[in-house]
Amino acid sequence: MARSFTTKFRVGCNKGYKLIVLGVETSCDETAASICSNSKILSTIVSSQIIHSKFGGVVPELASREHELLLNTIVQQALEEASIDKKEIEGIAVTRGPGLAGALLAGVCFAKGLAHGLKKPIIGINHLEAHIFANFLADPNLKFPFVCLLVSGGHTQLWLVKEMNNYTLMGTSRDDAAGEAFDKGARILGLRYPGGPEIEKLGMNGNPQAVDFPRAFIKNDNLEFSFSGLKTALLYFMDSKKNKKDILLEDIAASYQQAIIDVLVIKLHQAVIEANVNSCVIAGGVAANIALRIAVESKLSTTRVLFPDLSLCTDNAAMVAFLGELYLRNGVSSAMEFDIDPNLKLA
Amino acid sequence: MNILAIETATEVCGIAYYENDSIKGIEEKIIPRQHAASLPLFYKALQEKTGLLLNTLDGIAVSMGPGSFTGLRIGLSYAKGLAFSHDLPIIPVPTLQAIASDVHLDDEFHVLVFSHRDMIYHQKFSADLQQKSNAAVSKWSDLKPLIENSACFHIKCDTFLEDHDRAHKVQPSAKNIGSLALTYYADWVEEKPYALVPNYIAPFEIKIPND
Repeated sequence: MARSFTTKFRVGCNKGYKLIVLGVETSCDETAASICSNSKILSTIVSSQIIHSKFGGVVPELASREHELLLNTIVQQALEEASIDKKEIEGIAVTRGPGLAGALLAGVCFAKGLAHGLKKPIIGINHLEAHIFANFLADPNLKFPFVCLLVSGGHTQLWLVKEMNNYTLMGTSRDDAAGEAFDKGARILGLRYPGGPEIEKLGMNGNPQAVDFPRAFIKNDNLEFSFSGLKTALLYFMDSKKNKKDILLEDIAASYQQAIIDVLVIKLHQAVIEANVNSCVIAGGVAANIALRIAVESKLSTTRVLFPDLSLCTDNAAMVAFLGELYLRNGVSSAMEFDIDPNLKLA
Repeated sequence: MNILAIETATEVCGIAYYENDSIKGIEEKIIPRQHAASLPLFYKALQEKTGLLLNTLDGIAVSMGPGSFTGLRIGLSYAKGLAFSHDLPIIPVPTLQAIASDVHLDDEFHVLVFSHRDMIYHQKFSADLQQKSNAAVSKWSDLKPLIENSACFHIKCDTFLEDHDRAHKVQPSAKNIGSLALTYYADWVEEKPYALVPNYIAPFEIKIPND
């Protein structure tokens, strides 16, 4: 994919001519399609694969099978909801990574077939970049530069976003992602997958100070994260509490969640000061956590904080179509032999 | 009839074009693990060489398995995308039957395709190519007594069939997918191919993590 540009990208521009882009997202366990035109989302369909819930995590082969089965129908629905005929599609954007290889393949192969059949350009999209740009859908007035906290089941990263295609990684997790910590914690507590909403629900009325779980690197001035110790601490705590009923499960859930949130908020605050920016955005599935939202807003009271809609935080194709349209509008597309990259990096 | 045929069930990645029931061109190579990147290039090359037009096709024939899970999905997903662009039907073609269709023998025989570890996909055919069993997957130890005295046409089962004196190596081909699709077009054609799924057969084990 060409990655050098002579002109600066304009985000949210409306230059008069219509460009209709189909976005396809199949990187993990959401089969999604969306139609975007002139930076406006005309439709967005997301089918979450509930089948993984009983296994405590996403089963890659199952996810790939579901994508292959569902995608054609989901794309058809996205077109119908947008009242767009497939012949009107002028470009296709599809997530090429990072994600599960088999899952990505189902989306990319279908998208390529459709693009070749329609004789339209295709662009492979970086899922992480799409998450960052989802914030422009939430607020078209968002201005560069800003700090982005990307928190999902696969990533916990702090990015300095100076402009399009200019991203600096400020910090990342050395081990588990924050979303992974929620999922693994939920499993230890006997809750279902995905763990974030389950722990949040259980801990809603719990006391977040009941158990003092570890907060890794919180006193360091680096922007690194670590969540594997927290998961282990919970495991030991539950083992030692087996025969005691004195601490309520909802207090444990609230305390566990608070430990994750505390670290995220402090590091985000630190990053905003270090980068000397006025705005920060939260992207990825964990951004859906209400307690996180409240904590960020109170800690960063002087910074413009942007939380996209829930539907834009979790995996979706709207962000893929939106970013794809931006690239295609600027004349950037992928060669037809472009491949998936399960470990695709942002910078 | 005009048909585009796709074979990606094994290490062979192939695409063929039939015009008025006869083969006009084929792009095919053994390229393990490169099907996703190569298949679209093969399609473009075939299109340039034969001038095929999607809007004149009667359908897209796809090798449906059993075979490599990922390979099957690559072929079917790409076919669904192509088919969707012009509302074309898909003709699902059983992979082992397509391999058998290329065999000329005055005796019944088995088609064997290596799956994983000691697991093998297999199916029995009569001399006139009728299916004598369903496509299945079995452990080599269970399959061995069934095939001991019959001819075997196999893909990547060399280590198991070392001492078998009627074993022959074969390769699948998009050519056979296309010709079989032409023969059985009326029976197999799927006008609404959205919900077609590969014939995976092999159960896969799900380990429930306990960390």
